[in-house]
Amino acid sequence: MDMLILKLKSIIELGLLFIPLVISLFISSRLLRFDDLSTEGSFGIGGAFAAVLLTSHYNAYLALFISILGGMAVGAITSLLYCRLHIKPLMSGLIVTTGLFSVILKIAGATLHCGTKETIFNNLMHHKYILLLCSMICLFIIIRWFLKTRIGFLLQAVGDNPYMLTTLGKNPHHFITLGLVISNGLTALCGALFVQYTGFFSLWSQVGILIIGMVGLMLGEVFTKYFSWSLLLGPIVYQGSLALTFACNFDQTWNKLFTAFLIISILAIQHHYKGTTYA
Amino acid sequence: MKKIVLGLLLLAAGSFITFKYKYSQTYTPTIKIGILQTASHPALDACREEFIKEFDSYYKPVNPFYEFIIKNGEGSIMNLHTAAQELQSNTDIKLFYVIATPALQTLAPLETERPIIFAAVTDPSQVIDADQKNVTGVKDSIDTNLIIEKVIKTFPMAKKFGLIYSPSEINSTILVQAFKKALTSNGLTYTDVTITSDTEVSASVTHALSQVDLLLAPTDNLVANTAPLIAQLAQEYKKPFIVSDLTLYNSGATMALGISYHTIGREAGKIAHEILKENKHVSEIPYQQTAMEPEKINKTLYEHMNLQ
Repeated sequence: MDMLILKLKSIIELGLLFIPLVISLFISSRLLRFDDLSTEGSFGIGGAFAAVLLTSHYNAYLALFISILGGMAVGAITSLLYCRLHIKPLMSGLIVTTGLFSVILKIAGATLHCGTKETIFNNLMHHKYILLLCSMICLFIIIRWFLKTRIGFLLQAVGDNPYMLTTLGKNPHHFITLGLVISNGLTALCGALFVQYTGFFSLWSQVGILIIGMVGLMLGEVFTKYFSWSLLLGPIVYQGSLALTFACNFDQTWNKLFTAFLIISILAIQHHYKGTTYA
Repeated sequence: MKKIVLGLLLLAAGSFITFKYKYSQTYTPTIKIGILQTASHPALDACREEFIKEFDSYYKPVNPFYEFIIKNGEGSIMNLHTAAQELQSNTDIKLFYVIATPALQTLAPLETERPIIFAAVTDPSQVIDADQKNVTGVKDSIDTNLIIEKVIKTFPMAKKFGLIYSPSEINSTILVQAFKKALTSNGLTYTDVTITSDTEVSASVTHALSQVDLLLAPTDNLVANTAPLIAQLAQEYKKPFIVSDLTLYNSGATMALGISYHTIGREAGKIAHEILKENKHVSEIPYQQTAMEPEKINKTLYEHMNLQ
């Protein structure tokens, strides 16, 4: 029985860890309708900054803050490519991720060991989920409040009806920049939290992050397409299903195919019942 | 639709719980050993197979109940993390065996009490805390001084070395630093030939071959994957290509010298036996380093290059 509790604890912790990623993808993909591939780059940058600062014995909260700033810079670069140079959203994200691979390699090297002693989980080694749960609920409430403000409302208009912004005399590009800055800042926060949770940074942990985030988002959107509490459950359910595949002891080489079938089934159900998919 | 999804979730949760309940019903006293492998790779597979064979050779005549729980991360850090948590939460496992650096990095912070034996990790001090007491194992670092000595003896004409490696692998970076130290102490010059992906290899190597006298590679996964291409280019330019992995000898390298991953697996199996059967505590066993195997030189290529 304690094996089950241990497993559940790790599933919930890892699921809570990816909530900033899911919120970030919600903002960029659903609100801005901007398919942002620079997610992987900002996850790596967040992790790299956090790892470098932790190994230099800086405060763990300062490391989180600097990682968020790094992610925001990445978002600013992506939006610069889109707004000024008119590069398509897909390409600008891809360019940024490719370039960031070298930057991250230079900043942090291939891998860095930080240990879990100096992180924000310092005092709660066996109860990390408490801190994660409280902070994710706070983050959710903050973002929800933000989306109800005037600026947040205009941000939602960028993807849905950009002409409304121009009739109001606002520049949609400003709001795209704002949206991407927030979204990449959140992904970098996720990357920094992952480094503090696992105790090490690896250049290869950023590969495949986009899919994890998107599946988490899709599972969270099952109940409603608005910014609801069910978004918090999405990543937890996905991590649970992954853990289930590991526990069942079947060949792990099929894991990615399992993920693909999961995505197809979610989208098929959405299509059948609502006539349209969100992806 | 909400009902269907809720139903599916309940079904998943139910099957999860029943499966776990079934799992914990075995009453036979089993020695369980958890194996966490980073990726499917001939060298890492060899570490695993030899470990299992070595273990069998100690226990088979006595016939206790034991089983191996093998998880493979398939090269993805996220998968490795989930697999490591799955293994760590299994309280029946008495001993962990991790193969290659990423697996050690993922499991070591999670498990600080039960013994962890690593294999094929070049420099464990870079990836675990100094005060973690439950880790020991077999390193796969190569004796860089010995390699440089043998290379100088075999190819006395070479003055400028090209060190070919992938900087995104921590093992290679450590070994290349050691190579550079050995080269400077012998008064030779070197240059870095860094490759980051399969597609860049041809361009980087062609450019480098016009400037260096020979190419030297440490134990690097990217070099191992692209070795036939590098060897072919080196043969065209008539420059020697030296690898630190004996399994790459057949890819066309001029000289191969290094360690055997089969031996690493066997030595790790011996350590596991010492811990489990002889009840030695894991902190009493220092890290071990496999000995270097004798080198293999490709005579035809050597003659072809006219280095005498």
